[in-house]
Amino acid sequence: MKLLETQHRHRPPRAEMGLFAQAEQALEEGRQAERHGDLDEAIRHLTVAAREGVGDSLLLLAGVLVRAKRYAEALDWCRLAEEEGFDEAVDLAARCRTALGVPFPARAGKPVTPDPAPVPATPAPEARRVPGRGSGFRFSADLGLTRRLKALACTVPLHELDHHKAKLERIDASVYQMAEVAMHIIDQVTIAMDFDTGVAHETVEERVTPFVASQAPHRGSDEHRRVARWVLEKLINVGTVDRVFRHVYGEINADGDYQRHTFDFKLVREVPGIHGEIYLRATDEAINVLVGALDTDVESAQVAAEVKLDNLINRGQLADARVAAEQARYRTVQYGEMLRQKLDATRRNVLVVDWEHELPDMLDRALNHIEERFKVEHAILRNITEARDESDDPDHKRRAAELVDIVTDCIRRHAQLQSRLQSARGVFREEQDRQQFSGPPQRAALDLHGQLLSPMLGLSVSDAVGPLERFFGAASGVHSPDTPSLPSLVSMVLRPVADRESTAGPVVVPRVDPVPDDRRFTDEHRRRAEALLDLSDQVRNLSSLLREAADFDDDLPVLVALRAAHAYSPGIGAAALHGHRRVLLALPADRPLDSSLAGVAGDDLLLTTAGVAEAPTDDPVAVAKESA
Amino acid sequence: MIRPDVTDTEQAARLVGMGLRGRQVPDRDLTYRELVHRYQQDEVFAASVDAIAEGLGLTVLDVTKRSGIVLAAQPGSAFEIKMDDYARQAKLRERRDTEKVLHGIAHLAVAALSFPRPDDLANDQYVGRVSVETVDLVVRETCRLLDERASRDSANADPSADEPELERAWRAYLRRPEVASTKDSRRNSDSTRGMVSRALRWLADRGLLQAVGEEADEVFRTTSRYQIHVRQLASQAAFRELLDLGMVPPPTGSGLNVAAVPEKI
Repeated sequence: MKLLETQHRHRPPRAEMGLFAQAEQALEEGRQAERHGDLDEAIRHLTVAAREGVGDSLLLLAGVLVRAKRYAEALDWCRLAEEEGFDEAVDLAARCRTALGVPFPARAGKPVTPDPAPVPATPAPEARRVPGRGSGFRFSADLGLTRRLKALACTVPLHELDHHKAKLERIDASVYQMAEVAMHIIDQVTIAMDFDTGVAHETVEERVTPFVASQAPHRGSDEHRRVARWVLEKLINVGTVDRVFRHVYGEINADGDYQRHTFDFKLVREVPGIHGEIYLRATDEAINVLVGALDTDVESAQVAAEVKLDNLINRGQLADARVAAEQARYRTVQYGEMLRQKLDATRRNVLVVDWEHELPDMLDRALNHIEERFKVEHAILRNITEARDESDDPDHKRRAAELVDIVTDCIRRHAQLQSRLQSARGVFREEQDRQQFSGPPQRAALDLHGQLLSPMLGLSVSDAVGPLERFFGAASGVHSPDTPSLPSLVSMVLRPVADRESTAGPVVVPRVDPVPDDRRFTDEHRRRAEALLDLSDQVRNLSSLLREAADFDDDLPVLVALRAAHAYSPGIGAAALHGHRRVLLALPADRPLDSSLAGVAGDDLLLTTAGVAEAPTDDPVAVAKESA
Repeated sequence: MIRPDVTDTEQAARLVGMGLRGRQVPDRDLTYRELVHRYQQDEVFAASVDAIAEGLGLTVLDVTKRSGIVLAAQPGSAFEIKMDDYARQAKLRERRDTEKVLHGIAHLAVAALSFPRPDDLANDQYVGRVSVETVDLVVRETCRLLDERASRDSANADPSADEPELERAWRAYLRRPEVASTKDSRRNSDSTRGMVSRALRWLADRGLLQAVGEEADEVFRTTSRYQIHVRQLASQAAFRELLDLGMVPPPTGSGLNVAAVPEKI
C-alpha cells in the first residue's frame, strides 16, 4: 500500500517531466522544419510545444503562422504570447490585425510605439478595402483609416518632387533624388529650429547643398544650390497664395454616407522673426513624416521613444539607439513648440486664455513631463557615458560619444523649456494687474475681441462678409472724393486729342562695331598645326615637331605644344561620340625639351595618332589604347 | 425777406470741410479750434453744422477738442468707403469673399487690439498701441482656440470638400501664411501680416492712427477720432449685423469667461 502510494505520488511529476521533454523535442523539431522551409510541419511541432509554453515557442509559432498567412490563428497565439510577456508579439499582432482588417484595441496607458516601418506600409491595402468594410468595426476602423490617409497625404509632396523635377529649367535633374533632398531639408530645419525662431533660408541651403553635391559630384556648386533652393521652395509651396498642400479624402460618416473632406497641411512654414526677418520652421506634419511616428500623441510617443532608447543602450545596439535618441529630440522640439504657443497667448491677452483650468493644468503637465524627462535622460546619459568609457571598440566609442551629445542637447532643451514654464505664472499676474484691475469701468462699450472678433471668426466666410464690410466702412472714416478744380477739368476735357502717327516712326538700324581680331592663333596657324600633328601611325617626338613649326613663325610652336599637351590625356570618349576617326596621343619621353625652343619648356613627349575603332560593346578607351 | 447769415453758414460748412480732412486736428489749427469751441457753445451753429453734414450724406458722430469733428458717411453717400474698393487689388483667381473677409478681419483685429478691454474703448483718455505682429498673433491664437474647439466638438473637423463656401473664417485665416518671401525678398502682401500692415498704414494715411517711432517698426498709436469711430459706429453696426445673423455674442464680462462660445439661436 505504502509503496503504491509513493509510486502514485511520484507519477504525476514524471508524467509532467515527460510532457515537458516532449514539448522541448517538438520545439527543436519545429525549429528544424522551419529552417527547411516546411511550414506545415513546423506548425504541427510548434503547436505541441506552444501548448506547454516551452521557451519562445509561442512567438515562434505565431511567426510561422504569419509566414503561412494563417493570420487568425497567429493572432490568437500572439495574444497568449503577449500575456506571457513577449513584447515582440505586439508587433506580430499588429501585422495580423492589419492583414485581417481588425481594429486595433485601445490600450489605455500603453504608448503607441513610433515604429516607422509598419505604418507607411499599410495604407495602400487598407484604402482598397473601404467599401467592403464590415459594419461592426466601421467607425473605429475608419478613424484609423483617416489618420493613415492623412499621413500618406503628407508624403505626397515629396513624391511629386521626383515626378516634377524635369521642370527645373536648364538642369538635367535625373541624377538627383529629390525626395531624399526634401527629407534632408526637413531634417535640417527641424534640428536647427528652437523655441524662439526657426532657421534662415540661406542656412538651410548651405547645410543641404553638400548632400545634393554628393548625389552629383561632377556638377557645379551653383547647380547644387539651385536644386536645394528649388526643393525648399517646393516644400514651402511657393506659388500658391495660402502655401498649403491640399488633399481631398473621403470618409464614411456615422450615417453610412461617403463624404469628402479636405485636409490642408504645410511641411515647411515661413515664420516672422523678432526683427522682421523670415525664418523657416518645420510643421508637426513634417516632423511626423520625418520621424515616421504618424499622428501619434506627442507625450506617448516621447515616452515610447525613450523607453526604446533605454533598451537599446542596455543591449548595446548603439546605431539604433542613435536613431531613437534623435526621435526623442524631435519629440522634445515638438512638445516645446506646443508650449510656446500657449505661453505666447498668455503673455498677449489674459482674457482669451483660460487661466482657471486649462493653462494651470497644462503648466503642471509640462513641468511633470520635464521632471520625468530629466530623470530618464540623465539615467540614459550616465549609461552611455559608461558605455563610451568602457567600450574598447573605437567605432562604438565614437557613436556613444555622438549619442552623449544628442542627449545633452535634449537636456539643454528641457532646461530652456523649464525656465519658460516657471516665468509663466508671473506673466499672468502682471498682465492681470495691468489689464483687469486698473480703474473703474466708465461707460458701457463692447468687448471688441470677445463680442466681435471671436464670433466673427467663427462664422462661415459667406456669412462673415456682411458684418465685416460694415465694420470696415464705419471704422475707416470718410472718403473724400477726388474732385478736380473746374478750370483744370474743363481744359482737360476740352483738350484736343493728339493725332497719332499711322506709322511708328523710322526704324533705327544700330551701327555695329566690328569685333577686333585679337586672337593669337590664326586659322593658318591651326591648319598648319593640324598638318604637323597628322602623324598617321608614325611616332615622333615633340622637339622635332616644334623645330619644324618654328620655321613658320614664333606662335606656331606654342600652338603645337598646347595640342600635344592636350593629347597627353586624349578625350577619346568625346572623339568617339563626335565620330572622329583619329585621335592624337602623347606619352612622356623622359627627357626635357630642347631648351633652344622659344616659348615652350617642359618634358618632351612622344606623339602619334591612333585610329578610333568602332566597338560599341567595348570600352572605347581600351580600344584606342590598344591601337596606340 | 430775412436774409440768412451767410457767414454762419460758411463757418459751419468750413467745420464740416475740416472733418473731411482726416489729418487736421484742432490743436494745430487756430480756426479749427475756434469752430469746435463754437460748436460746443452755440446750439444754433451746431444745428446748422449737423444740417449741412446731413445734406452731404454725412453724420456728425462727435465734436471734441481732441478729435475735432468726427464725421461718418451715410450708406450710399459719396463719402462712403467700400470694401470692394479697398480689396480691389485682391487677385481675381481667389474667391473674392475670402479676400474681403480676411481684410475685414485685419481691420476688426486692429480695433480689438487697440482697445483690448471694454474700458479702454469707453475711456476717452486711453491711447492704444498696435503693431502688425501683435495683431496677427492675437487673431491666430483666437483661430487656434476655435480650431481646438471644433476638433473637440466633432469627430472630423476637416472642412467638407463638397461645400467650400461653408468654410469658416478662422480656417481661411489660419491657412494663410503669416509671412511669405517674394522672389525679390520683399514681404508678400497676400500673407496675413501683409494684410494687417496694409490696414494699419491705410488707417494712418487717414489720420486715424499715428505711427510711433521708426516707420519700419510699424507700431502705431490710436487717435481720438479712431476711438470715436469704433465706439460710436463701427462696433455697434457690426454687432447689430451679428444679431441679425442670429448670433448672440456673449455678454461682456469681467473675468475669464469672455471668450466663451457664442451660441447660435
